[in-house]
This record gives sequence, C-alpha cells and structure tokens, in this order.
Amino acid sequence: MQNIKQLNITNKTDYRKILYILLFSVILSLFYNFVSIDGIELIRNPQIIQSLKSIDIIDDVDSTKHLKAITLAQAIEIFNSKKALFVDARDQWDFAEAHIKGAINIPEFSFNPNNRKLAQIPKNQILIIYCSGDACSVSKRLTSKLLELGYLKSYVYLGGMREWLEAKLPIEKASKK
Amino acid sequence: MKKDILVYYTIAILRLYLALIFIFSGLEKINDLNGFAQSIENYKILPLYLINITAIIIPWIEVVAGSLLLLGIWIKENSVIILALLLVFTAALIIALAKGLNINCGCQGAAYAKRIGIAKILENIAYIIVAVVGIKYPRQKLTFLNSSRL
Repeated sequence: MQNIKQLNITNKTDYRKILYILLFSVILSLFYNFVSIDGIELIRNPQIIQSLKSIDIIDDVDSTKHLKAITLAQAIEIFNSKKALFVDARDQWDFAEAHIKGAINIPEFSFNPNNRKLAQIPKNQILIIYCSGDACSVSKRLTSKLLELGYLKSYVYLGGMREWLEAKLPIEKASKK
Repeated sequence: MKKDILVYYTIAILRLYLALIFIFSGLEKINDLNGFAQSIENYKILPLYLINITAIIIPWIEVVAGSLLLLGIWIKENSVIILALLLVFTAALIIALAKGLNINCGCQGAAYAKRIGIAKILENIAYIIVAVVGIKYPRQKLTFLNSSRL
C-alpha cells in the first residue's frame, strides 16, 4: 500500500488554474448565448399580469398578448359554464395526484409547440391555465407560450390547485388525458 | 503490486464517470437554457435578476471542467470546481426539500424530469466523494494528456 501514498505527492491546488477555467467557461457561455438562437436574456423579466375585469369579456380576443388572470369566483363560473378547457401546467406526477375535473395536462417543464394534445385544441378555445398555487410560475409561462402560439383566449388561474382544493371544488385523480 | 494497480484504475474510472456525468448534464442544460432557468426559478433561492445569468454560465462550467477532467488535465483544479458545484447543488436541494417544495430537480437539464428528494442528495454525496478523491489523488491513470499522469 506504500505505493498508493505516492499518488498523494502533489503540489497544492493552483487557484490561478481554477480562475482560468472559470473565466474560459464564462466567456464561452456568454458567446454561445449570444450566437445561439435559443439564447436567453441576461436578466429575467418579471411577468406583468392584468386581472380579467369581467367574465363577460372572456370571449373577446385581445391581441396585445398580455397575461390575464382570473379569480376563484371567475374560475368557478367558467368551470360551471363548461365553456373553457382547464389546462394543468404542472408535471405528470402532480397531475396524476389530483387535478381540476376535466383538465388536461400540458407540463410547462417539457413544453413542445407540436404537442399532440395541443394540436387537437382549436385556437379559439378558451383555456384556463393553472399550477399548484399563486407561488408557482409554470402556469404564467405556459400561458405566455400559448398566447404566442395564437391561443389568444388563454387565461391564468392564479389561485391554482391549492385554492381549488381549499374551496372543495370537483377534482379528479390520475387519468389518461 | 496488483492491488495498487486495481486502486489506481478504480480511482481513474470513477474520475472518468464523474467527468462524463458533468459533460452530459451540462450539455443537456445548454440544449434547453430556458428550461434550466425555469428549474432555477422553481428553487426560489436566487433573485430574479441572477437566474438567467446563472443558467447561462453554470452548464458551461460543467462542460469545460468535465471535459478537462475526462482528459486528465489539471485534475486537482477541475475536481475543486466540480466539488464546489456539487456542494452548491446539494445545498439547493436540501433548502428546497426543507421548504417543502415539490419540484423537478433540473439536475440533468429540464428534459430529464426527476423529482428532488433524498435519493438525489445521496447521489450527489457519491459524486462529492469522487471529487474529493480527485483532489486528494490528482496523479492518475487513464489520462490522455501527460500533465497529471502517474
């Protein structure tokens, strides 16, 4: 075993080398982000959300593509009117555990514009997108993506699953939808 | 001595494995920067203005340090970098679990959806051990450039 000790005979950590490696990585990353078509902004933008003034205008098309949020009362009204399709933006595990009755699952995490479920939805369908609660952001991001794709009647239900459960409203467990 | 050779090669193979894990994770994240930024945001640790810049830089550090480690260049220094990353990732995991967040790890990029949990922390601890071995024994077998050859 004496030979193994030889493995350990080395100089100290060279912090200059660490600095070089980090500097090289940073330059490479910024350069890649600059030239890549998938590059992202250096500073993340907070999303501005307006509230939907009245449920009566839910069918109006607003081409500004601003995010619009609905309240629990509005969500219940839309749910009961069966005019809208609820979209769960969480992942498949959360969705399987419990989701708003009749909702479909389009996880924002692995969103693909060519999503098979999405292809079956007409562009003029009213969509109510939600996630776990008001602290989650996947519903907002999914709504932005849907608005970009031309689903102009997409709304965020900010209260999400938590508020829905607290209000003891209809839910479903695992489904093949 | 036969036993020594076995130890040398075990250490080297573990290093190569860790290097490949980091290269793979880094490339997966680079492939979907937006998804990785979202994963970081889900942890609710960093302020909004730091999220994207972190998402841009971290994967490249993984790829560069991982590649150098794979080739056997500056094994000690690259192991230090990888150890630092692992400690940060593990701390983030522990904080997220302590907060009761039920989120995807984002560890291998957004496409490989994997829940955060104790299993992930144990996996990271195993990688941490390999990184520490790399720092302690930087003269290794299976290097492809002479600098750190045994």
